[in-house]
Amino acid sequence: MNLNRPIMATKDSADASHQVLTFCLGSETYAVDILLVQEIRGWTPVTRLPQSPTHMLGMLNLRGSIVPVIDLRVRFGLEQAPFTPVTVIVVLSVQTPSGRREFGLVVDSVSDVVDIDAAELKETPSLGSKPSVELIKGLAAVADRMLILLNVDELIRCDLAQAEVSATTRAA
Amino acid sequence: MTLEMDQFHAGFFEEAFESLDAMENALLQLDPGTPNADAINLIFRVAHSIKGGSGMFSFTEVASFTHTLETLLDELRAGRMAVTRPIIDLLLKSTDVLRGMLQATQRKTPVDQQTVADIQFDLEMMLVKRAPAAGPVVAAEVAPAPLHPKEATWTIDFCPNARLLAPGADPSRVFAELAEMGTMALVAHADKLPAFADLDPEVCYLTWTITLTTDLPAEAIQNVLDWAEAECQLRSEESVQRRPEVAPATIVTKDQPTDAAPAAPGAPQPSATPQAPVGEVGGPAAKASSAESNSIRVATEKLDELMNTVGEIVIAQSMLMQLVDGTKPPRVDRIRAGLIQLERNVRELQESVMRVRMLPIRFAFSRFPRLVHDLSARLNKQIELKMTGEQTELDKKVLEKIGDPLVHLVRNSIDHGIELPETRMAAGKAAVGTLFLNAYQRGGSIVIEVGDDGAGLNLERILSKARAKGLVGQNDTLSDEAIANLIFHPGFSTAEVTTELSGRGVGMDVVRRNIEELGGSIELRTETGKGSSVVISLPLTLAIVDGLSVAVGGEVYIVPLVAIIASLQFKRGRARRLAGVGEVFLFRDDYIPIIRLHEAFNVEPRCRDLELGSVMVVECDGRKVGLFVDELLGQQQVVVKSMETNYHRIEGVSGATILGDGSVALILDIPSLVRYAAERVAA
Amino acid sequence: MTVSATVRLPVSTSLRECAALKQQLLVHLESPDPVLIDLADVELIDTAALQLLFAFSRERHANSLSTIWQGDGPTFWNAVNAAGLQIGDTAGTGTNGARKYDS
Repeated sequence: MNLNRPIMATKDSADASHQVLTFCLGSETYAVDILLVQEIRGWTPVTRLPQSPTHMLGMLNLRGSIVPVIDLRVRFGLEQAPFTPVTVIVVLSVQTPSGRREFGLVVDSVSDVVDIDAAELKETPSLGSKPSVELIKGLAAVADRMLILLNVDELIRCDLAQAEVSATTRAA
Repeated sequence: MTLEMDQFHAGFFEEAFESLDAMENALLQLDPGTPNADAINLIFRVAHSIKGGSGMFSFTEVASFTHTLETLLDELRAGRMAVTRPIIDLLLKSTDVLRGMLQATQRKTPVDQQTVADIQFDLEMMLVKRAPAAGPVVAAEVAPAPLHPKEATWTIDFCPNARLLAPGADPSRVFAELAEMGTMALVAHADKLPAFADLDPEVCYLTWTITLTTDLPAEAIQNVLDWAEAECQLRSEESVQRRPEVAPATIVTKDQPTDAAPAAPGAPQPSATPQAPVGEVGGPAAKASSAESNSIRVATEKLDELMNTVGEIVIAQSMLMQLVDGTKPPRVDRIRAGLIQLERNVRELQESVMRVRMLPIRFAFSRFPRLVHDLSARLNKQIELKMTGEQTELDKKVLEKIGDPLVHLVRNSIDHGIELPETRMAAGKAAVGTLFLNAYQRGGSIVIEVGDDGAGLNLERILSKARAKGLVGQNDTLSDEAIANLIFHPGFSTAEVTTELSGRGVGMDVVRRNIEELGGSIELRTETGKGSSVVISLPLTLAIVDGLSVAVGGEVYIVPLVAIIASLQFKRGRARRLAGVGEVFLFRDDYIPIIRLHEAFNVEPRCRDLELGSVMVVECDGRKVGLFVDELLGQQQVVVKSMETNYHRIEGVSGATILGDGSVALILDIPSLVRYAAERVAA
Repeated sequence: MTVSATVRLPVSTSLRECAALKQQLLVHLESPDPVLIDLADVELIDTAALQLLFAFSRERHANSLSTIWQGDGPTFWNAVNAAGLQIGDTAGTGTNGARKYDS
């Protein structure tokens, strides 16, 4: 996989099926809507943010834009892995009501682009102690693999947008 | 070579399409009964200039068609043919054909020969059976006057850009075009010609002086020259003083001396040459049309782009400076000197761009006279509004966002600040209260004051309310100022009942948050019985900030320079620990608290001893705080990047920037840090 | 009078031919004997070529060397006039000088 190249998504996917980019976290394979993926890049050090949760690694300089980077391993309750030259950041670009947002997700490795039939998306079973079930849109079975589809909107809502907190709430 | 030609073509096509639109509009508005002379002239000029341009680029089909079109238009323009409905329709069809031809030419697809031929035939038929006109074309609201102004002689300095000799752009075409317009003479100048051996045949070293006597207006000449404009500079001068008179029924288009005009000061003299720029041709007439406003509307996105670019240049330049620092060879000095010059230029550029975005605060103040009038009437109060400094300029974005907070402050003053006339008189004050709005620039900031001579804040009530809410300990003593600033706490409103005017949920805390989001600060001053004022300080520009970079552990932070009062190296024993307060030190008669940034930001520092690092004294809202950091790194200008675009606001951080080495540094939000210290004290 | 060389201008003497023409002329730039430029064939000429020829003749003239223009081709001389150039040499059999263009 050629890192640091922007991905051009094909927009002619029909409504019924759409393409997803698959990536690995630990022993699981996750997937994210290919149209949201702006680019894949290698790891570069980020600037830490004060009083931020552990999975929020910090801010990255993405060609002049300040982009937050989340460690998905930590977010999903996995042990943090050391960052190596082949660690991957998947940069997503999402259109939200308040404008276009970019952010990065650190994953173990990126796999391939796969077609998913929306009709075959299965509900996430409510059992299981994963603390982050709300971040999952559903499960899809593709050629013997189970793909866990990421709910990007929820990710933004939980982690990246300011919660409605009054100004004085602050860790001292 | 083709690339360059396409670039020249692009300009031609762009202008051509635009003029065709103008031509079409003019045609649509043309009334056969009373045709407008200006419109016809415009249409003629469009055809004429497209003809010229297409000829220059060898778009022969376009040129030929436009030539026929132009001939017909000339007849109309000269009054030798009447403008009729069928002619207008035909001209509209011609516009379509022409547009199609230009598009085909631009895209290099074949032209629809059949349609072109058909319309061209119709045009020619029109010419053949020209109907005698009723008379010269009538200019709007004016007694008939001949359309042709008197002849004038022009001098044109034709200095082509070097590449003009590329195929299709031969200056001789321009000369031929000009020659058609009247009597032309030209002289070539060879002073720039190098030695033969060094001559590059593709480069044009020659310049020309052209003298043209024509009855066509300046715009016609300009049009021809415009096609070559991209490649040459020219100076059109009127070598003859136009007669200032106009026909008795004045029109705002041309000066057209009629036979009935009284004797002119003198027939045009070919020799005397008072210089007059093209714009003044035709006397007052052309002035009216060329006296367009001195301003243009600019889409804000364009300004944002400009600002972005300037920001990027600042970053690039600091990256270069970084590369230069630390290398020793002698040439480095010259590079450094060059970079310093660049820095100066960039700063100027940045200031200019900033100024483009600035608007006077008058736009934000303008709603207040009415507001004050209505509100005071409704509340039976007598209030006089005094506004000063309305011409103070600030950034458009800031201006937009400052409106609501200001309204809230004004409403507060009217509602809670200024007393009823009886109350005022009982207190020995004038019945009429004063509300003042003042704006001025101070250093790198804009200061806006909103104040009144009302009752001032009831500090007692605020304090007891704060105690009731647990914000302030029962036994804590606060300065008057601290008490006053308590009202910035969310949910804090001293009015027992939220009046309809001040609204609910829009407390002073929201006002402060709005101001701080703009990178500014807000301060409240009050004197019981005398009045209150709110002082808002805003940065002149949102986008670029002068800062001091500091290191804490492995992190770099930027401290805005405007907030820094001093930077100190501590000696052992300077800091003390006060119970309930924390570390403080004496600075110019006051004990001020110390914030250890490594604690506040949870960073592992390089040193924990105050004497080994640096303490920076910063100030905000009149309060001072000492920030303890590992090391001061250096002063630099940084481009502020918003955190909110992709993330959200964080306490203590007002934005981020990209340093010369490409890494992200956080910019400290001094107001919130200062507040953090104060509240830590109170806690 | 002996002529050191004859340069025969092609039918189309324009920018495209200039590079080659310049090389041709360069060879004779400094020859002490008159250089003859034959205009007879010229049917198409542009400003680039005119500039080149003008520069050639001017430099020779500045060094007191002679250039002869041969052939009455109106194409050539009209073009010279239209460009406001003065080309020509007092000696020689060709058309002398160029007049300032006026109608």
